[in-house]
Amino acid sequence: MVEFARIPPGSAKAIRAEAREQLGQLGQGLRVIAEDVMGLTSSIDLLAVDPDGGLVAILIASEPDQEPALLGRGIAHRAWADQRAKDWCTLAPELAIAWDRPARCILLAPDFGEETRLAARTLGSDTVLLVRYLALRAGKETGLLLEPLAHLPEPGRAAPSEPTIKPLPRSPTQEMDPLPEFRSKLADRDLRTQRAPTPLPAG
Amino acid sequence: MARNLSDVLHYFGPELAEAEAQVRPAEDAPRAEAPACRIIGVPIGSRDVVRAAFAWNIAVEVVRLGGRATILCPDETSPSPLWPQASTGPLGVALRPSLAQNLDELLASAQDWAANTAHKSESDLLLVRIPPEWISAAVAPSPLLDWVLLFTSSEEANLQEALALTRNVVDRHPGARVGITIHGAQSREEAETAFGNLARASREKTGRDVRSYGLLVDDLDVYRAIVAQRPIGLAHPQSPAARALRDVAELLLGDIEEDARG
Repeated sequence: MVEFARIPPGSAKAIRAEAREQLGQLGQGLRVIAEDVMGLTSSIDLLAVDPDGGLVAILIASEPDQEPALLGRGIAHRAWADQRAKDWCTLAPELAIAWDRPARCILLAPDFGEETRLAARTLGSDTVLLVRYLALRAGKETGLLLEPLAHLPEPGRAAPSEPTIKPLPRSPTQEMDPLPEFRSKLADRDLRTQRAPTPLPAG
Repeated sequence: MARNLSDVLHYFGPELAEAEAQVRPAEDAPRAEAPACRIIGVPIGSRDVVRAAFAWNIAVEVVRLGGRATILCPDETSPSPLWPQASTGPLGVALRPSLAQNLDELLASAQDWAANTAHKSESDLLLVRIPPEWISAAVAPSPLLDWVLLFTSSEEANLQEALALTRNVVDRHPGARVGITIHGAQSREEAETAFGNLARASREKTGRDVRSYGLLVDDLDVYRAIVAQRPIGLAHPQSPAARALRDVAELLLGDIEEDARG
């Protein structure tokens, strides 16, 4: 049985690196194109492109007290990225940025207050997505669990004090599910062969 | 822009172009219709004759089981060392060369093929050879990576290579179905253990599960077939290699049918 334990999330740099690694948990097909980019007056932790070419500014609050300012920073960075998208598209066409699509932002924090939740809901998920993160140890593995706020109870309703623990995609916790089965109708008697004398080069 | 060798075939030989026209609908045919066939990407290196032979022989077995199969092969040299001469081959399995230089161009070739194929159905199978380095170079998800089939032996180094390739695929195309066929195992248990190890490693390292597509046999018939450029299922239909290839083809067709049923 694998034991779960909540652990301190580490430095801002470590959280950013882990968040970048775990973005796939959001299921949005995001492709990170830059890290720690200087925006208007502060840094954008990760700049990504979604499968439709839309720019996504990802901001991370490494401490709970950074959360209240995160939404304002996110909206500002979104506008800043919008103004530069066409230039980036010209300078680096290989990034496949759709400059005419409005940028959006994803905010990561240990938790979000009621005001931020309500404001984000008003802006809509096309503008801003709130994602809670939780650093966990599962057995010998550690990882960052990302939970989009849309999956959590509405503000004002009874919410659990801790996010629901789901299996970490990159940990042994998923051993609890059976591994995919090996499929073949062949038995050993079907495999009795003349062995090849020398293997041919491969690769 | 020419994407397929067949697009420029008339420069090299009018008689070849005529032969091509017989198996290819008119260029003016509408292309807007959505492809109905299933595409499976098969990472095969430019000199990997063994995996190429597996792919070609599986295509032949798909046809023997009542399906239709085509192989799209981007090759740098002509004739390619990987395949028999490009044409409609045994039982109607067609080899289609492509001039694609990257994953996007290869996708365009596949879409062209699908749009120009008459009588297409959801059980039509297009196996697309993907140079593994093109997957590493991809910067965005590609429909060619929706379903990928990897051949790996049960040796540790090969399993590591398959794991790295799996990671490459799912990093770039998070929704990919990655299928694994184990070849060269001396027993079913060996193949089953190898698949289990790879499945466990994939779940731990990539967070994704791979799917089993059976096992293949490395026997003399495989190598004879490569040298003779004759499908094993026709030259030695009762051989263990042919039985194993048919089993893999059945698994593929079974999943295609299951997908079609939703």
